[in-house]
Amino acid sequence: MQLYPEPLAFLIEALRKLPGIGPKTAQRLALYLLHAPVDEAEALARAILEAREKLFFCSICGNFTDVDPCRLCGDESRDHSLICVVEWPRDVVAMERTREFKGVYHVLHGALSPIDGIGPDDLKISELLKRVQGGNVREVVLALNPNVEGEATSLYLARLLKPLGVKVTRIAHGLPVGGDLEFADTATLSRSFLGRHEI
Amino acid sequence: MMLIRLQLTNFRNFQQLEFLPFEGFTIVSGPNGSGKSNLLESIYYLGTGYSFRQIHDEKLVRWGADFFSVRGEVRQGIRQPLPYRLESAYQMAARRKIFKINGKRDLPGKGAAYLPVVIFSPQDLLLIQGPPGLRRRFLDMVVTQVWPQHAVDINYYKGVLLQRNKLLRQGSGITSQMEPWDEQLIATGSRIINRRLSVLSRLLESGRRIYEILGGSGVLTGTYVSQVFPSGELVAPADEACCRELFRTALKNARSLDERLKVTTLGPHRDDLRFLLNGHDARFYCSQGEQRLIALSLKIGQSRILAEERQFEPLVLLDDVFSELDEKRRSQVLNEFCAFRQVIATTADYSGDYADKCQLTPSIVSLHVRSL
Repeated sequence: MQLYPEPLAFLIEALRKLPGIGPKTAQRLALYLLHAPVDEAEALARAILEAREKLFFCSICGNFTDVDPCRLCGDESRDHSLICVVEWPRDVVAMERTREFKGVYHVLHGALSPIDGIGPDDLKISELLKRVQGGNVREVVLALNPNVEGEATSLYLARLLKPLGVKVTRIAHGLPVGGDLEFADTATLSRSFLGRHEI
Repeated sequence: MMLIRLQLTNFRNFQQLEFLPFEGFTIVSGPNGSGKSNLLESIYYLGTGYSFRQIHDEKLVRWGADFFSVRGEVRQGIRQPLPYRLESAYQMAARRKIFKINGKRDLPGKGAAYLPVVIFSPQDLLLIQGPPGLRRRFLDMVVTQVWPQHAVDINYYKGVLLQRNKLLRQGSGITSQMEPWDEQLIATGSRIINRRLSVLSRLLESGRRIYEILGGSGVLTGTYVSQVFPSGELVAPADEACCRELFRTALKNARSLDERLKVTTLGPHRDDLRFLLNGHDARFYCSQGEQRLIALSLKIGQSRILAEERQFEPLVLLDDVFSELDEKRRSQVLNEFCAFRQVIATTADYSGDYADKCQLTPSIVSLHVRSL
């Protein structure tokens, strides 16, 4: 027996596919959308469609954008000889929040992971190489996640980038600022110990 | 650390049990099936969060009951005004394990900080006779006690290995993609090997001494068996940079084999330990009794390292370890254990004669089977 009429069941099914949404949450969201004023539901549907239609990959950095080149790549005040490589678009946002970094970005859209079937061709690696080969790049900063896959991707990129005569660096791993030493896990603590520097 | 009170509810064959262990040496005797090992199992469970018999929690519940609980009180010194209360329970219906320290929920593994336990059981023989994986796990356990970071490295190594093997299974056109995984395998792997080697030499040193004290004949030595080293095995610790270079070369040489078999054929995940008595492999040339004595020596060595590193002594549980030893060895083994602050041993037939020989005055607890 079908518990929900078909259109509702389809909506729940579609919502369930979203990351972080289980069956209960999907049900709750679907019912909320049905109870909400109709223009709210329409606005959401329109927002989804519009985002899909109007956004594409920036031809330079590979991030999502609605203008090409994207706003960061088109910003003349930024240092275009300094490229920060990240895994996901959300990492760009995280870096930008610091207002510390004045260079430009390159988004790989993932990290190497044979288990998930992700090889170099599935990432925007050739685009990065072309960018560096194009000259005018002084330094590439690798800001990938400090896990097995991120580390492998860093090593892979360093191997390809170094012969191009560009400086390749990696962001530091270690203690979170404002945190307590006693609450740091052993892995982080020993990493930060290895990365100590003179003051 | 000392366990001063133990309360069991529906644990194995015990419906209710209250046990007040003594300081020093306690012998629990009783006929087969009276629950001697179950008693030790419950203490081990409290300290580690799992059974030393590698049995799932639901099998620890008494027949017909739907939960069990193990509660214990632990005291560090006489001056400690209130003992630590540890509580471990399992509910069948909810499949839920609950662990509490002083009434607050915590992770089951955290019990080790309050009640460090070491178990000696007939299964220790597997340390000599069993598969290499058991020996690796035993060594890694000791290493982790010395360097907690080791457990993280082992996990990381497993992650790299998984990815590398998956890549090998993909087959063609992977050569250029292998390097980042190889690099990480080498970096983490050589750190693992290096730590294992240095702890192994420590373990063997105290193991050899204890083996002699226990009246074992011959000299106990051992080697670390690894394809990473050109000779196939190593006796002395090597430095990490040297390990790294050897691992790199070995991995390169094994590449074509790896690609053919589609699996990483060498590294710390394939290594083994070899114990030698007078230079001969204990696994093949020693009697069962000698093997038991070697395993016992190594495990006592482990407890010593634990005591040195953590500055507190483990509670020692002896599950029927005397059965295969002759009378002379029994009293020597007992003597060796007298050095620990609290020891609880089980035996089916306690006659008292081997205790007399080592001026030991054990407390005796008898378990009786009561038919319902």
